Amino acid sequence: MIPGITLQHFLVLSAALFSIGAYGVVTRRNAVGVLMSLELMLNAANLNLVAFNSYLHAGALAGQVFTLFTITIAAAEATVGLALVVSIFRARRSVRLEDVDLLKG
Amino acid sequence: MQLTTLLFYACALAAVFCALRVVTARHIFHAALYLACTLALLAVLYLLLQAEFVAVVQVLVYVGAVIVLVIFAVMLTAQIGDARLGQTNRLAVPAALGAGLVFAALVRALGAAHWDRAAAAAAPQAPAAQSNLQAVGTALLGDYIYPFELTALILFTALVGAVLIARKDPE
Repeated sequence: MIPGITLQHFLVLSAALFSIGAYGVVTRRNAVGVLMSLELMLNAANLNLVAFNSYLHAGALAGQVFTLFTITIAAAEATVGLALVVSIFRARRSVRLEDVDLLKG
Repeated sequence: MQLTTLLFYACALAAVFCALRVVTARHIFHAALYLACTLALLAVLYLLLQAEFVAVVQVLVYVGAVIVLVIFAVMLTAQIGDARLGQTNRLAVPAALGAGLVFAALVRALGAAHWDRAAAAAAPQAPAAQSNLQAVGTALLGDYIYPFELTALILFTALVGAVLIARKDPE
């Protein structure tokens, strides 16, 4: 293990990345920007899983395997999300989220 | 201070800085590049945690594929020159407050937990008989074979869905 670095260090880093991602999801006006912030949040969760795996169950692999599945799902999510963004752009010539207000009464 | 410790702090600080730029950069294309930096730095952290295969997958899938997709989407949708238009909405201040509160609550909860004691109580790790790559491969095709096959289904569904959603003229 890394000398002087505890599990807490990794968890605080991951909490910071998660909070930054949450801020981005709320404030970005561009739909692509929102998706990027979402990827940040997912990566924070992945870092948590790998850190827990290495520090608490070094012999097991469940955390790492779960991270691989998360990465796969995140890739699928990014694909569909970006396809939706491109499709919305075709229909409304904008990716600004405040322009997508068709369902707003 | 040892090299790996220094490397952790350098990567962690750089990752947080790049992540902040991802959500604050005025130009959406710059945000995408900063996201690539953040993801690559996280791959280094995975290496430090001795999760080599996850680090390689992170570079291949995230830095390699997802970032390319994101940049494609930026190119296809944004008018690249319109950096003057604000990229953030009026919620910036309350959102920063909220995110700061979430971070403070998480750090507070982490301070109250006793992971280190649990780590000390965890069984002393036997020296790995096989490399991380071998072990992950065996686990993926052994214990986790059904979820592994299901991800193939999910990827296929996402592929078909993305093509269906993004194609030019749906009838």
